[in-house]
Amino acid sequence: MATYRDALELVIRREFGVYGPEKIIDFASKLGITVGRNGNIISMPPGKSDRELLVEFMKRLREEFGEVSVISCRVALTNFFVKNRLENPL
Amino acid sequence: MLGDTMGGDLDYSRAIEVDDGIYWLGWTEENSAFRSNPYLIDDGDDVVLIEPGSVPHFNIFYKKLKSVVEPERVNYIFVSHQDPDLCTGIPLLEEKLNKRFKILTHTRTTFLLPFYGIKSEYYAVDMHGWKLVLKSGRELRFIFMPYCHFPGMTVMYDTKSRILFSGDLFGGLSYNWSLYADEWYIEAMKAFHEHYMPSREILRHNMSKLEKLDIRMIAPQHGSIIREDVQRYIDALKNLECGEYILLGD
Repeated sequence: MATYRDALELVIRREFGVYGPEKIIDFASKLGITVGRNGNIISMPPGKSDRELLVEFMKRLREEFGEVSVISCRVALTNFFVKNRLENPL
Repeated sequence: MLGDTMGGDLDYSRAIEVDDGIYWLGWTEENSAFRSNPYLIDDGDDVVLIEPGSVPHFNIFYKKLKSVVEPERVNYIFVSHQDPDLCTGIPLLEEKLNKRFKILTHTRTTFLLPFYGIKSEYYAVDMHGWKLVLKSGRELRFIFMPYCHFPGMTVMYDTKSRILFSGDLFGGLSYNWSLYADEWYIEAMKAFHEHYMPSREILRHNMSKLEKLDIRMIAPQHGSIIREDVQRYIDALKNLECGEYILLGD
C-alpha cells in the first residue's frame, strides 16, 4: 500500500531531474532527511509523520527553489494521490 | 545570462557537432529550466535548419550558425509546430540574409506561421508524402504526432543519421541541463510532458509510431539529446500519466 513516504520519494526523484541530485540531497539533509544517490529515503527525522514531512518538504522546496520545483511534480503527485486513494495534503 | 557555460568537455559557447555534419546551435541560460535547441544538417547542396529559435536568442544563434556554414546556404527550415520559442527568429533570419526559405512543416502549422511575419514559402509535408528527398538522395521523413501538443505536430527523422528531431517531444524541464541526457533526464522529461501533453492515450498512440523507426538518437528542441537506450525514453512516455484535466475532475 502506497504511503506519503512514497510520495516524498517521487518528489525527490523528480527534483533530481530538475535540479540535480547534489542540490536535492543537500536540501533534504537540512530537513533531517537522508537521501541516497538513487533517490531513495534512507532515514527520516523522528517526531513527525510522513505526511507532515511531505508538506514541510514541499513548502521549503518552494521557498528555496521557487515555483518550478512545485510545478515540476504537481501532476505526478496529484495522480499518485488519486491512484492510491490518499488525501492530497498539499 | 546567455551563453558561455562549459559543460564537462563540451564548450557550450560554440556550435557542437553531434553527428557527421549535424550541429547543435543552442545556448545555455543560467536561470532558465526551459532552453531551446536549434540544430543544422549540412548536406552539401542542401542545408536544413531545425527550429532556429526565438527573437531574444537570435544573435547567439546566428553567431553559431555562421561558425559552421555560410548562412546563405540554408535553404530549408523545419519546424514541428508554431510555438514562439522555436520559430520567431525566422523573420530575423529572412531579413538578415534577404532570403526566403522553404519551411518544412504540417499544413496546420502553415496557417499560423505567417502571423509572426514569416515570408518564406511552405513545403507542407502532409501534402508531399511525408518526406523530402534532398539533392544528395538523403531522405528526411516526417512523422505525424497530432495533439502532442499541437494538432499539427510533426517530427522529422533523418534516415542517414537515424536521428529523430522530435520538437517538444522528449523535451525536458531542468536547471541541471547538459547537452546529452544524464541518468536523471527521464524525470526532467516527465515533468515537461505531464504539463504539455494532452493525454496518455494520445501520447501512447504517437509513441507507437516511433517504435517502427530505427532511431539512434533523439534530438528534442528543449532539454537534452538522448543518445543511449532510446527505447527506455519511448517506454517512459508511453506509460506517462498526463492529462491533468481528468485528474483534477470538475
